[in-house]
Amino acid sequence: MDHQSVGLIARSIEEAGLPTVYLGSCRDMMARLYPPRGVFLNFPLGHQCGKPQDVSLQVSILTDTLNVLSTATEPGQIVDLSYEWDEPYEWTDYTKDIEAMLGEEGGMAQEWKPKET
Amino acid sequence: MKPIEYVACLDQMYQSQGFPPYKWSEFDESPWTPFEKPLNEAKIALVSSAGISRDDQEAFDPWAVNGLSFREIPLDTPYEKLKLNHNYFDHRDALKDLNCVFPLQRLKGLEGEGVIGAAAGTAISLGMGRLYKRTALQNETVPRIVDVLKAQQTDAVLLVAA
Repeated sequence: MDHQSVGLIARSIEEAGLPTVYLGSCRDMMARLYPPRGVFLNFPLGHQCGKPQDVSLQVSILTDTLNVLSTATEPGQIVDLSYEWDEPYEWTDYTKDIEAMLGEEGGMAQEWKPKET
Repeated sequence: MKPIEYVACLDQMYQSQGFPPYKWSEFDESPWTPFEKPLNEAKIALVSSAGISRDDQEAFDPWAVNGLSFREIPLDTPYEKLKLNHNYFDHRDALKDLNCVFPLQRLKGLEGEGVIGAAAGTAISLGMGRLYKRTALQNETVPRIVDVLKAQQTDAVLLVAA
């Protein structure tokens, strides 16, 4: 859901007079938000700027993303980066990975009820 | 991999747990501020929602609901002084290399190579989690973030969603 929140932040920062570029990996969520300049990387969540220790991949993803600041000509476009995740990955992998992570780290599962704030 | 339909999958997951349907924000137009400087002369600030805090700051709630606060992270903070608290994504690779979601070092590198003019001295991290208080985010949190960004003469903002 952070992809929605960051879209809202992008819109508000842009309204305040600063140009933004928004890099994310949930295309459907980004598209609903119409961020001023969106960039989509089709990688599993947690790798929005690339893979760990792969400096050249990270540099190249970020350079492509920042270039959109200069190349975007109209509001609300999402640029699809062409980098490919080399293994199949779907929703069930996302939830399984989180379970595995919590198991490894001894973390708690999410509480059922939203907390009052 | 095929792009995942996160909205449909999250709706199904939460509704099967008994949550009421979530009303996603939708727009059909965008605000726009022209970016007029060449990238290699522009100062770029990083804003990430990966739940990053410094070890002398309050940590984020890894299962945040309506997390409306943010942390200011100085650009020269060593990564070993940073913590990540965010359980809504598998953060194990990000813990091996925070640049996966919080690319401070890469931004500094791009400044060194002359791709950007400069990396702003302070980056911003949030950890919002499931957000229902959208108006408060936009009307209370973002103006404070914008103050920090403008105080350091930011020309453009790189947002990374986590």
